[in-house]
Amino acid sequence: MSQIETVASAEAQADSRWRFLLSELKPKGKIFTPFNIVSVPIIILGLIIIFIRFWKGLGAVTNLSQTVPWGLWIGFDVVTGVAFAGGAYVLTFMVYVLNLKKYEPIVRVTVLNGFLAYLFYAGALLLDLGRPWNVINPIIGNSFGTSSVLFLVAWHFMLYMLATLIEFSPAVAEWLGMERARRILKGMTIGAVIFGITLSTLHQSGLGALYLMAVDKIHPLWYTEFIPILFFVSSIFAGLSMVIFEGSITYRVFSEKVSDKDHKHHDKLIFGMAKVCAGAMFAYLFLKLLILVHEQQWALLSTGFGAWYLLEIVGFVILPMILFISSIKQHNLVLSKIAAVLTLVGIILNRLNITVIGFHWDAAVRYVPTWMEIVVTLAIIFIEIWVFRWVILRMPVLSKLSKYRKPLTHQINEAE
Amino acid sequence: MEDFVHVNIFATKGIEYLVVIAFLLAIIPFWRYLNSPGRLTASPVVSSIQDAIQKMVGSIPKGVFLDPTHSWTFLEPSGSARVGVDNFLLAATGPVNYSELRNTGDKITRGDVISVLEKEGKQLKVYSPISGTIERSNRKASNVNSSDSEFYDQGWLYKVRPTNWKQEVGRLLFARKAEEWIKAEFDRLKDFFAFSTGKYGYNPEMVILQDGGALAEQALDQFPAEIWVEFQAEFIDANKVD
Repeated sequence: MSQIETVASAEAQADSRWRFLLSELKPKGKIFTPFNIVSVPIIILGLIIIFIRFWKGLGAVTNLSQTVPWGLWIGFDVVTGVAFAGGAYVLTFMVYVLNLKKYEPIVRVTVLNGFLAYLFYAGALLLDLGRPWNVINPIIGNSFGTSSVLFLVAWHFMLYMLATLIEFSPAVAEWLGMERARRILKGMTIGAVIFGITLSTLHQSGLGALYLMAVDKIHPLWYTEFIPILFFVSSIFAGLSMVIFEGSITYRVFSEKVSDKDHKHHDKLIFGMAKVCAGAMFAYLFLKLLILVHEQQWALLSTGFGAWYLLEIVGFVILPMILFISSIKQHNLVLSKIAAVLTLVGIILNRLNITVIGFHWDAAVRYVPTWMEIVVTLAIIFIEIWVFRWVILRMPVLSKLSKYRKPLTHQINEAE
Repeated sequence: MEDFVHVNIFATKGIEYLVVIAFLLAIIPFWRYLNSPGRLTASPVVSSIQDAIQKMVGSIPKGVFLDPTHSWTFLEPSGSARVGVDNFLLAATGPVNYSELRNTGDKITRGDVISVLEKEGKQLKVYSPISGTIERSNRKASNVNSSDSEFYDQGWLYKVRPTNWKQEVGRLLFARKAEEWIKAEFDRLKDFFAFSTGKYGYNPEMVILQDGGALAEQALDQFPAEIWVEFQAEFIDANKVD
């Protein structure tokens, strides 16, 4: 082939790729679905509030103050969201390190979820920063702040997002029909996975370590120097419960993308994950008991906060653990799913008890998030689901792993 | 009494040590309980899946080719090929009657129905692994048990003079590949039964654990006709390769 022909074919390929990308931007499926009808107004309202927040400052839309600088956006979006995203590192550990290959079909969707969760929920961190432009400082070295846990969290978040992006990137290369890039990225996966797992174990606990300095502010039943360990252990069952919960919805909503065989296989995987959850919860319970004994705070159990603490432990750790065990024994998928939902509620409670509810628990004026903070939180969740859906409908995430896509030109023709 | 030292168990963290010891003692029985088979598999007639696989895998003699639709063939030195139903299928169904057997002299093509396995009105169609002309049929095949050591010698259905052996044999499985495939089919069978029982609300005595449990031999025997139809689609028709 002459040089001119090579250049011409490269140009034609680039052109067809652009046409393909443009065709992929078009919406697929029905526009007026119940989910869209609910989510679109909330997203629009959320974006308006975010705009006001950056224009007028935090005080205009939040109830945050000098004494309570971290509210719902940190407590829920960042701290809880990152625990929920823990499924990605647990599952990649199971598949790539423990070699439990049967979980491989759900790795891609879980990693995608993890990546998006970090991108959006950790991205929500920006909203909460009084001077968001300073977020770049720990990276460019204007002021590294190496003595702060935030330095570790900032770098970890950034590197982990990169690691999950690399883990997911073969799917993007398949989508774009870039075989060579796919092979190179695939080769990087195992490195990215191990790097990602290492980062995760550290920053899941690092998030808890952020609250170590709030020793006098957090209710004594929740404050302990072992918060980092509790955050790490609970992220194992939080992440897997999210995989069970989200996977059940994904496999139902995008049912046509999943083969009958994979549907059956997925049900089987749920029991495996339920078992890991039950084991991690068992260890977590003993840790909680150990810490309760260590801190010698049992007198507080008879107070109102004590009842709230017991509700969190009995209702949202012991109960779901028993349900997970029964679901395994009885082969009951519904029980597993109920247990997963209870676990997720329990994690939300636990993280909010530390960051919002039990934070400044004895203050005369308590922090209660404004409706605008709640709307922004919902808007971020909905935007993440929109992006997730966009990716699922286009890239080979739920469909078979190694099935290679048709040439781009075929797809354009089909799309047209 | 002056030498007596009062030890405060809280100050020495005694209870913490006790909690840690209790955890270490509890984790083993907890994990064993979690991994023990569920109550559904407590039937004494349930044999372990590992035994069943061992029996099947060990019983595939050299020179036997398996078709993914669960039939087999073996080329005799005379040039005739024995054709039959594999013992995976027969282990799943238990003893069956063969109906709609073809006659001597019939010409068959790979993928043609060569027999129907029948049991109490429930049926499974079996396809030919090769093309050729039927030289003999074995009316006594149903007397041979799937676990017999002479299954491949006595349990054949037809002797066929193959017409396209070289090409067709390339699509069949043998040796290590055949063994791996049979193992995978057993795993699939476990999933299949677990899923089918849930789907039809049917709860037979001998069921299979979804995760690492045991599989009953002749499990299909206990299921209703709908599940036989699904079995045909999942394990025989879906595996057809032209």
